[in-house]
Parts: sequence; C-alpha cells; structure tokens
Amino acid sequence: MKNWTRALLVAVLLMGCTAAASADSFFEQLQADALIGTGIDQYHRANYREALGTFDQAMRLAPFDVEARYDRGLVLYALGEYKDAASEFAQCLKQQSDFVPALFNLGVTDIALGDLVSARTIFMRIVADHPSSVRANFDLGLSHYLDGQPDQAAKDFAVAALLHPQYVQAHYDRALAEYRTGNLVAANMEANAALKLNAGYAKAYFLLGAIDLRQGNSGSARSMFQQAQRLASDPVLKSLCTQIIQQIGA
Amino acid sequence: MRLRAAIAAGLALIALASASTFAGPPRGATPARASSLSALQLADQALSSIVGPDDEGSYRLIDPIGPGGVNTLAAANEVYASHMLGGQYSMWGVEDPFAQPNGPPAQQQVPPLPYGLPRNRLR
Repeated sequence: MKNWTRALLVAVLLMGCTAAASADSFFEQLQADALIGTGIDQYHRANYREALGTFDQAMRLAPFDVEARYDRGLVLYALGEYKDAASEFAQCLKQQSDFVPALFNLGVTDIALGDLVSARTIFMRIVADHPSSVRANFDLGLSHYLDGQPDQAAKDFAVAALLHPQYVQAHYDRALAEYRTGNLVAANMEANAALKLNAGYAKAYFLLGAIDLRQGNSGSARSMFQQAQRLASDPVLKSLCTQIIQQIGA
Repeated sequence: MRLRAAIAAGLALIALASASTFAGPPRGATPARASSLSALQLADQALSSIVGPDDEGSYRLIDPIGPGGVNTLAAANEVYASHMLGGQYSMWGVEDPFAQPNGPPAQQQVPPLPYGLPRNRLR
C-alpha cells in the first residue's frame, strides 16, 4: 500500500513537472511569435537593425524556430551581411530540407556573394522541379549572365519573359544578354518590348542607342541616347549620355 | 543596387569573354579618360557597369514568414509561381511592388516598374 502511494506521488510530481515545463515552453513560443511579428513589422518599415535585435531575442526564446531564423536571414541580407544571411538560410535547410523559400533566398544571397556556381546549382534545382518558376528562371539567367555566359542567360530570361510577359526586367536583361552574344536583332526586339511595358525605362533607350551604334545608325543612336539622358534619374548615366551624344556629334 | 559587387565581378568576366565579339574599353580606362573613347566604347563600358542587368529590386527575396508576413505555403508559392509574386504583405501598408508609379513617364525613376500587375489585380 505504501509503495503504491509512493509511486502515485512520484507520478503526480513528474506529471506536474512536465506540465510546468510544457507550459513554460508554450509561453516562450508565444512570446517568440510576438517578437517575430514585431521583427517582421520592423523589417517592412526598413528598420533593419531593430529587426535584427528583435529576431535575436526571438531566437533566444525559440532557438529551433526555423521561421525566425529565416526572417533573421532576410534582415541580414537587407543589412548587406550576405555571409551571415547565407549561413542562416543554410541552417534553415539543415533543419528543414524542403524549406524552399530558404533555398531560393540562399541562391539570391549566393549571387550577392559572387558564388555564382552555387547560385546556379540552386536555381537549376528549383527549375528542374518547377520549370514554370518565373523567379528561378530569371535568377538562373542572372547567375549565367554574371558568370559570363550570356548565351545561356538569354535563354533563361526568354523563359522568364515567356512565363510572365509583363516582366520588364526579364525583357531588358534578355536584350542585354543578346547584345553580349552579338545577336543585335533579338537585342533590339527585347529592348523595345521592355519599352512597350515601361516607356520611361532609360536603360532600355541606352541599350537601343548602343545597338544603333553597332549597326552604324548614328542618327538613330543619338536620338536614343537623348531619350535615355532625358529619362535617367542617375546623374552618372545622364553625364555618360551627354558624353556619348557629344562623341556622336563630333 | 545590392548586387553591384556581384554584377561588377560578373561583368568583368563577360567583358573578357566577349572581347572577341566586341572591342571593349581599353585596359585601365577611367571616367577621367572617357573623352578619349569612342561613343561605342563609352556605351559598352556603361553596359558593363551602371547600365548592367536589372534584378527584382526590393522584391528579389521571398517575403518574411510569420505573424505579419506570409505563411510557409504562400512563400513556397512565390518561388514556384509562373508569374512574379512578391510584396504579399502590402495590406500592412508597405509599398506595393505592382502599383503604377505616379507622374508622367519622364518622371519615373530607375529601376522601372518592376513586374507588371499580378493576376489577382488584373481582375
């Protein structure tokens, strides 16, 4: 009888401890979730330093919260701390190998780090599983372009533009890639496609000017650079256009 | 642009790779010497730097996940979508990446209107 009572007491004590521990853990997670919400709000408002502090607090309470880690990675990227951001996204993938947003963001961070082989591998992996992913195709194109493969990049951007015809950057980047491969006809077509979507795209006018110069149409080139100069908000680009127009006129 | 460092490194490679197709700017050319370059050389130099490729701007990363952000499924859908999706949190008052810029075209800023309207806003 005594043994029974003792056993019962131990069981009740153990249950109490477990309940208390899980209640603690529940409230810690609740607190961590509230901090994540605050951190996301700070991120949206571009208060990145504050957001980083908030996510640090959240992760002290819930060190295995993969979403808090992912969001912390976004903040680190926004702060330009690409190595740390990559490390956070990689850690997310270690915790949860099918966490695709972290995989994608790791690819983007790899581009920022100049690790173009790794970036390409990631985007190719996503495209292999999801061929109609416009973002993966576009970023695969960027990785190829930045790695000195404009011919391959042109194909990737073409897929992105085909999937989402209103995607201005895909048209412009394809035009640039085609220009690099020497396919001036395709470059011209794509730069014009970008301008149809955004008539104020100074860079597209600039590229059309360069195409005209290559084709020996200096009159048309001059007019394109004048348009680019008028539309450009970047003073360096404006000044470059002025110099080029002067050179054409000479 | 946050990719400037990567773009500069990549474009240096492109300039080398495409040297046989296009005569690039002379080695060591600097803006101070720009006036000695031809119009085409100046243009090519710019296309390898400030007029280089564009990315998705502020929306190059997938949205944050959690309270006030998107859920994991919506974030995965951003990756898989055949249309550009991003800035899903615009209901919290954050800039809408798909909104038309104000003012006439001449007033528009570079980079341009990002991706066009997402499907659900075309209805």
